[in-house]
Amino acid sequence: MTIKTSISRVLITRIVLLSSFITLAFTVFQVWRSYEEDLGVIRMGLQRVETTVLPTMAHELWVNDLKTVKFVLQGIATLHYVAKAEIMLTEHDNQIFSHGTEAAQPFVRVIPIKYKDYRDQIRHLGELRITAELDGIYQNLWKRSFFILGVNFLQILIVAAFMMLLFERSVVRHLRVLAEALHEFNPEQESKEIKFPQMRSRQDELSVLAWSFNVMAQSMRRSWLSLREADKRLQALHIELSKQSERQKLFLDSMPQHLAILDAKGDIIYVNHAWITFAKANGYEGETYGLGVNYLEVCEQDPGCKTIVRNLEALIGGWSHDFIMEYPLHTSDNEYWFTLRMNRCESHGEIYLIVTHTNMTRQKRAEQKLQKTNDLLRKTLREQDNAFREIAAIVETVPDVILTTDHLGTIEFANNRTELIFGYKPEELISRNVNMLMTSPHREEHHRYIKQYHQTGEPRIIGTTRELPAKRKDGSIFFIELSVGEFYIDDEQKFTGFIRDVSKRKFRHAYIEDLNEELRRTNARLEERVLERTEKLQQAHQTMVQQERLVSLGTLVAGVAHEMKNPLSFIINFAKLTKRDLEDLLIELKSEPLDFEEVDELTKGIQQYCQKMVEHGERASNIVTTMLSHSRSERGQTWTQVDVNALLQEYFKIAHHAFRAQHTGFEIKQCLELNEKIPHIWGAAPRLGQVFLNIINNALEALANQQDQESVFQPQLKIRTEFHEKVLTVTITDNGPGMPESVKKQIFDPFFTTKDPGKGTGLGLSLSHTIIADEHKGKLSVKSKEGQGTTFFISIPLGKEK
Amino acid sequence: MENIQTKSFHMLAIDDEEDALVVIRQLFRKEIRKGEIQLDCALNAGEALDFLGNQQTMDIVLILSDINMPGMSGIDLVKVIRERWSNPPPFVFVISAYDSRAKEARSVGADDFFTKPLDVDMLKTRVLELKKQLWKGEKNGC
Repeated sequence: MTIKTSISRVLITRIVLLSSFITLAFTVFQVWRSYEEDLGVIRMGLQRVETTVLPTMAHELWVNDLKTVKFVLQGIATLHYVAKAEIMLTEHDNQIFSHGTEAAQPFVRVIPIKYKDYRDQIRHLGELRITAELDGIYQNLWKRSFFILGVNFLQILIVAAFMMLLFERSVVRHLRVLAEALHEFNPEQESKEIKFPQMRSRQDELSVLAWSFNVMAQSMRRSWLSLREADKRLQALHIELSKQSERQKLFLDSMPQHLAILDAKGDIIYVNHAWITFAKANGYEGETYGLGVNYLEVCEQDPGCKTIVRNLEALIGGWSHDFIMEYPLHTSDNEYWFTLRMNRCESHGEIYLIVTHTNMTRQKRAEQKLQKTNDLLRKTLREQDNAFREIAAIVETVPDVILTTDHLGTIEFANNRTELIFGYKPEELISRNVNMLMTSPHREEHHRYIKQYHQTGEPRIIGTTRELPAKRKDGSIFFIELSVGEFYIDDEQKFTGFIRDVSKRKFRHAYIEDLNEELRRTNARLEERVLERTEKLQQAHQTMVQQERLVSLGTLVAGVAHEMKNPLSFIINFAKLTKRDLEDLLIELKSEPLDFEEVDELTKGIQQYCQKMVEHGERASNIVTTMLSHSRSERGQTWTQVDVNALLQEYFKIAHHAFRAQHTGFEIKQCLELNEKIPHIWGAAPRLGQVFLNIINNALEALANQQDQESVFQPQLKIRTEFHEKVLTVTITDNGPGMPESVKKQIFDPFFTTKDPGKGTGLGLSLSHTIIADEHKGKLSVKSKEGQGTTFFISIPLGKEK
Repeated sequence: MENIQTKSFHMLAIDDEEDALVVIRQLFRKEIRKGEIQLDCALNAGEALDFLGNQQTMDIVLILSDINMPGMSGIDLVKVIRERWSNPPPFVFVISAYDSRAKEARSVGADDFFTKPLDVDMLKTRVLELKKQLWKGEKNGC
């Protein structure tokens, strides 16, 4: 790099510019000072004129000595800075006297002339106007400023030149030497020490810089040298390493195992000779299992290598450190077995997986042969063992005693049953003679029997079954059934004996008989109880039905009682009136003169009363008849022609009265829309009445509840009858609270009630349903929604006479 | 007010059952004949109010009403009478089949309460007592 702009030149240019500006400012200030000074001299002179000349002049003017005034004026005009002096006299018609010439650069001062007269009054006599010439001052100023400027510039230039020279010599020159040395610095060569042109004894910044550079250059040189040394050693080491690697490779190649090394991603980074050879021999080209191939991916493609993939991933992930697996590899003409071994190694923070496949075919074959022999052996053993177990189990399960003896009758084996049947434990019997279980005379004769059999070979008991007495441990004697057999083990004769306890047989038969008898008796008792319960249940149901009828009868009675009150009250009152009027009539008849009019009236009245009593009596009688017909409990109701309209009116009245008797202040808007044209139907009037009463009563109760809750509620009950296609339909609608779906579903179920316990039987609507659907072959249904009232539909066909 | 003595005791009986009205009329047969009592009848509350009309002063001394009637009930009738006529306020006796309404009737301003079946003798006694009392009171007042 070359130097384009010298530091010294830049420095000088800036110093000159700054100094010039300061010099200019300073010159302007000096010129302004000098102008102020000159102006001050003129002002002082004029001041002096004012203080010295003016009082005299005022006096002269006051005494009107104009000559002297003019003279004084002339005197003023002769002063060197005054150009012109004028005086204007106010008292003499503004007369003006002047002396001198007009100024080129005027500076005018006007001074009033005042005089204090004898009365100490200030008199204004006129004014003095003095004009000074400034031209001279200005010229003087110009000259002076040019001079100052010139001198200052010259001074600056000289100083700048000197400074440049000094800077060049003491700084820039050395800097250049430094730059050159740095530029030429090369650690590969011995570098020159920096030396400045003149010996610099002073330890200033530059010499320190040069010294520092020299030190640095030296240390860099040293570093470079040692670096070069290290590099050489490194190269040697590298050669050694590659040799070693070669050896290792040879070693690995000579290994019979197939070996591959994978990196942390599963890429194959090394395979040995055996690996390549095997791969080629099995038709795999280098690309399939060779270098650079990802072993994990290759294995993933092979569906048979799922285990390997899973374990490989575990190894890579660091969850396990080694994995060993044996696997078969069968070609068309031969069978091979391999052991796959995978190890996880960590070296210098890198993870490597060593995968080896070892051919295990020979070992495997030997192993297989051994395994086969073993299996066979084990199987035979197991079979024998099982057979033995089976026999042992049978022997222990058999309800009889089983014994084996040698040829002399010494017991060699006995099963557990001996304890139960004889009272001996098996171990108490073993090694003892079998005759200990026998009774006399067999006990003593047994030896002889055996001997005889041995001699003659004629069996006495072998192969048959015989009932014999036997002896228990406690000495008691009982009957057994004995079977004896013989067998040989290694030419040694043995006997087997099967012994059954037969003493309980008879007893058991009797016991079973007893049990059967007991069962029959129990059955009979159970049947009896079932019948009893059924009867009770039927009674209970009957009672409930009766109870429901009583409830409705109760309602009826309450209503009827009120209905009865009215006609009875009339009968009583008319009877009272009759009595009174009869008394009056008797008195009247005895009186003189006879008031015919009164007698006539009384008689007519009595007649009327009697008529009324008859009417009300009949009314009461009718009501009683209704109640009686309702209360009849027989099911086989008399089947008559029923006027449903009349029935509805009657039962509505009864229900209404009964209800009002219990609910104070309950008022209802009733609406009976009874079609007069409907025919009479065949039916049981009291039963139908029970249905109507029940439904109307429910409606009234719902309405009363609603009214209790909201006082503004207007209860309303509407009853309609209509006849259509041989079916008579009664519709009973209330505007009460209605009922939710859950209640609606169950209302015809027996014992379902929404009333408080004890208030309703829950049978009302269920019975109503029976009456309408079963007895009258009609239909009873309900339509209701919560908050929208309830409507019951009772449809009854015309029916027939029964 | 002096002429009240000369004026008859004016009664208005209201019942939906005509026979009840017959009983009342016959009960006071002699008094009516003598002109001591004047009796008018109505079959329901509406008819009674029509009869009473819109007059401000009331010349009827006693109103005898059933409570349970179709349309306006006796209780409501008492309320209307008590609101509309106070100069002079008429006496009101009510009759009901249910004892339970006695309290309600008294609370709206009924002076006496009778239950059905109506004890005519007691009614007569009460009416004549009232009549006597009023006349006596007027006499003392003079």
